[in-house]
Amino acid sequence: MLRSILSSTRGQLARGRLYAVVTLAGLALALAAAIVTGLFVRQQHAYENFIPGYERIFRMTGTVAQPGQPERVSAVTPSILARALAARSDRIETIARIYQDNPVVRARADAPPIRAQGFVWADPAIFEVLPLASVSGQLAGALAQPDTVAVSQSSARRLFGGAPPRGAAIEIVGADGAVRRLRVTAVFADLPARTHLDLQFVASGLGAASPLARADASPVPTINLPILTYVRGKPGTRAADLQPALDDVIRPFQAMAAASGTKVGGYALPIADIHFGPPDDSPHGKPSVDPAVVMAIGAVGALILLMASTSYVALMTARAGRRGVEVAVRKACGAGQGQLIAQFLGESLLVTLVALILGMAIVELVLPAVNGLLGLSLAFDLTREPGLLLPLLAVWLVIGVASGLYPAFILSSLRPMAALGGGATGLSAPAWIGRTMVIVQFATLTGLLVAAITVYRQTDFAIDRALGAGRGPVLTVATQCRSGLAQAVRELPGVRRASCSAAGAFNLAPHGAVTAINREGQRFTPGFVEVDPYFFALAGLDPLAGRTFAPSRDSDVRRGEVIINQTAARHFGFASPQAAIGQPLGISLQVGPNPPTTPYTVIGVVRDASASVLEPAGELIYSAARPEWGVLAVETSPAALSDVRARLGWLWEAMGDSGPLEARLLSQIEADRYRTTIVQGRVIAACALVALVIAAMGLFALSAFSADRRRKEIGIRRAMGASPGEIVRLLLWQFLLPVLVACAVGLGAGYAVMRHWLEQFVARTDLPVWLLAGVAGATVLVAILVSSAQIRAAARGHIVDALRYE
Amino acid sequence: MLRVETISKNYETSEVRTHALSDVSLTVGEGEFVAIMGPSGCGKSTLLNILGLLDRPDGGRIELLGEDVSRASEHELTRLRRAAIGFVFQSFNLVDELTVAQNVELGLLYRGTSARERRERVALALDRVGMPHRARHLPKQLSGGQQQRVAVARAIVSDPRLILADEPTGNLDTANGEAVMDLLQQAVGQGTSVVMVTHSLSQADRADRKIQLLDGRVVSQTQLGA
Repeated sequence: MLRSILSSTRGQLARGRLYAVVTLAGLALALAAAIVTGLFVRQQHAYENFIPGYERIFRMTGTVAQPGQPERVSAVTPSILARALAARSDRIETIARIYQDNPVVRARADAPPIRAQGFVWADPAIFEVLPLASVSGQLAGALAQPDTVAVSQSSARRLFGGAPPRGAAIEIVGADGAVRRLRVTAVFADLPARTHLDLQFVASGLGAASPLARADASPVPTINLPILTYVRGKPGTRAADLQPALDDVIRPFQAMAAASGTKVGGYALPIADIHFGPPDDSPHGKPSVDPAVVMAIGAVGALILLMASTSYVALMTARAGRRGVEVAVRKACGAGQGQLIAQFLGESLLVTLVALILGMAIVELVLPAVNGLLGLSLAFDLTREPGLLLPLLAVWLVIGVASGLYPAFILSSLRPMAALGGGATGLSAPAWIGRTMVIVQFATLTGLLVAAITVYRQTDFAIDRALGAGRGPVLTVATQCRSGLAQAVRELPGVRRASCSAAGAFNLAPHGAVTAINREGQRFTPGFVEVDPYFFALAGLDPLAGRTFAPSRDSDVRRGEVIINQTAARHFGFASPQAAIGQPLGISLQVGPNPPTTPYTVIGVVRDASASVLEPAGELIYSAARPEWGVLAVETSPAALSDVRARLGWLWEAMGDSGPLEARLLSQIEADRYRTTIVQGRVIAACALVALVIAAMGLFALSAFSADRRRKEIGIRRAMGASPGEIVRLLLWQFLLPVLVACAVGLGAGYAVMRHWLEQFVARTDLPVWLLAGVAGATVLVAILVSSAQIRAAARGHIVDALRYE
Repeated sequence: MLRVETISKNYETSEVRTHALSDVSLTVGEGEFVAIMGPSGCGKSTLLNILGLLDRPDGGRIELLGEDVSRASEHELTRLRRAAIGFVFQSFNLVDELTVAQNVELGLLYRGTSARERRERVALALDRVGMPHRARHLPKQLSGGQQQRVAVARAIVSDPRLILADEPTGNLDTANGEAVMDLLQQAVGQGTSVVMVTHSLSQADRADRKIQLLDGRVVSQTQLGA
């Protein structure tokens, strides 16, 4: 029996090689796409689960809602929170803080220094809260002594070329050139991508060099240092169990903030929820992900599989309609219905298995490229995760059985004489199956195209709105602004503009906050950033009213003149930007119930430049001052970029900070800001591409099959006087009709879904009619290109052969 | 009306070459009824396909309505077929998905006839073959004889100058076969030339002339009923 199935399957595939290749390849491609999207969704839902006991690990999270402003969520916590919480809750097993930093480090004095990414100062208990896997040394107790550090395996490799030697240390080089040695006590395994943690160096927070220790020593509790607090609850602890203690700690802060109308709160966020939680505004935070988008991507993967499966089942069913005579002959030779059912089901399962194996091979081939393109670390290793086979086997069985149902149960029940007498006539699957298949496939395709293009347009829109957009490339370097570096850079050949201003001004860090009183006497807390006179021209912020700071007028600083953005002008109570010019502002540089105010005068109003299209613009005040520490932004031209970068490097050697020069393009930073959206766009675009290939293959196979099925009709029409062109037009129209219906369905659904998606953005692009028309036009063009070859061949075929065709 | 001179047709495979027609010459006059006879495989259908411009000979000359079509383009052949020729096949060759009226309409559809005129002429043709009550039926709802009458209606609906019938009664019983022959003779009576391939001597005897083929050659031509 098995041999019969094998040889019959081989014969069926060989009879229509092109047809077989196209249908098999389409299914294999869809299976590959479904596997990859499945792996993506699984990874997105597996964040932090590599940490033992992750279900009872929480990160403390604060909320701040200023009057008239939406609530902002912050992972940054006061330095005293950990101690205060530990004293108030009996549900806490361990608690520890990390202080995010990025110092310059080196392995030894003669080694090249690097800017350490993922560097944190931590309480010694951090590895009890987050028990990471150790590669060497004991992580528990690794930070018990001051001036110790645990490093990740990849960082150890980078600094020491492999495992750190016994007694190895790293040196932290301060901005003033001071060097502090930290002894390496342990090496931990690199963290997988599915975590919010960015840990490369975990240094003991006990040493004098540690900002954690400095914060603890401060007589005034600090609230704005990049300190995150993690709690490991006792077994069974839920987030709600920690809330009473947290409320107790927050209560005094709430009373203080209430004086300025601000509401503050806090909660314990399970670390497994951070990935899908609110955006993390901590300095090393990663953008959060909308779970609905992840589910939508999973649904798209499933839809692609459904689309290819229905196509495959429909085409296999249609093809089976031609096997009536074979069934009759087999029956005449003594085959029972049970044997025929086994024969047909066996064949379809075998063919589907071939497609599944091909699909798995495609996954193996493309996964590295997919990971590279999307910045993911998806793995498809059946030897390590044999459980993955279960869903694959289920899919195989469902598709295999579905595609074999018609021949197995309908054809096999035919009486032999009916088939032998009438040939295959009347046994073909109904034509609506093919039309429905085309509608489903092309509706999915057009919907995905609309989604992919909208995501790309929104990303472009967001990046185009960023500061400095539309200008030449802007290099940014974190540095001290009070050296003469900025002035020296301005004089370099190829440099158009250069400004050294607070990182917050470029939206590269949170804005410092001040207390302000508007004209109605209401308090609010606008952002306050220090910028040099060159900032506005470089950022593209031309004044809406008044002027910006003039390089030649140092008096701007002395006279307490400021520039405000549009939103600040509105909240201060000015009727228009012009009305604000020359007006005094009451601003206090301290936050509190009744802080003393300093008089400032508005000399200009500029447009809002919000950090992200996801958030409304806040009130911002620009003060003319060179901050002690800020960002040097250098605008050049694309042609001069590499030269300027090189010259900047030489200048940095001569008069820059002690660490290495780390210059990043502002456009790249902006792109990173929207990385999540970009990844989503790429996933959807990849799905759209797969959908396009599958829809094209499906239509190709269907047109080939239909042209073949209608060969005799074509011959009759030709004999009746139809020209090949008339036949082509007739068949093409019949093929395009379901495609047009699909376009209407897909565009409608795509438009509705993407309108809803765009609503999450405060500033957003639109969905113009020309875009929808373009998608429809492109889809129809693809349909014409794919189906016309088969139709033209059939229309120009030999009439006599066509008339004899049965 | 139709003249062929020394036409030949060969079929070749990788192993064998078959001479389907060799030096066949014949003429068909206006309003003449010609029957072509011969054993299976003698080239009757091949000759009919060439006469109907559905196939091209390998050699020789064909003249239709005074026009040499031996080297006409595919476009030109289509135009002539559309304008002057009607077909009746042994296996009816009706389009399964079209109704009886739509099948008959095919004979007019590609001539640019207006929809109104098409409706009128289809009704007339179905009336002539006795099938007006079946206009909205599908072919599979008809008997073989009824299907062939529809095929004849499709052939005559455009008033062609020439009808080519390839064993039109081959799949029919005697009564239905006679009915179809009556329809063809009616067409001849109205000035249409008919060339019919048949195995039936009695039906061939209803023609004006009988041409006997053997091994791809014309072996005899007999004038009948003179």
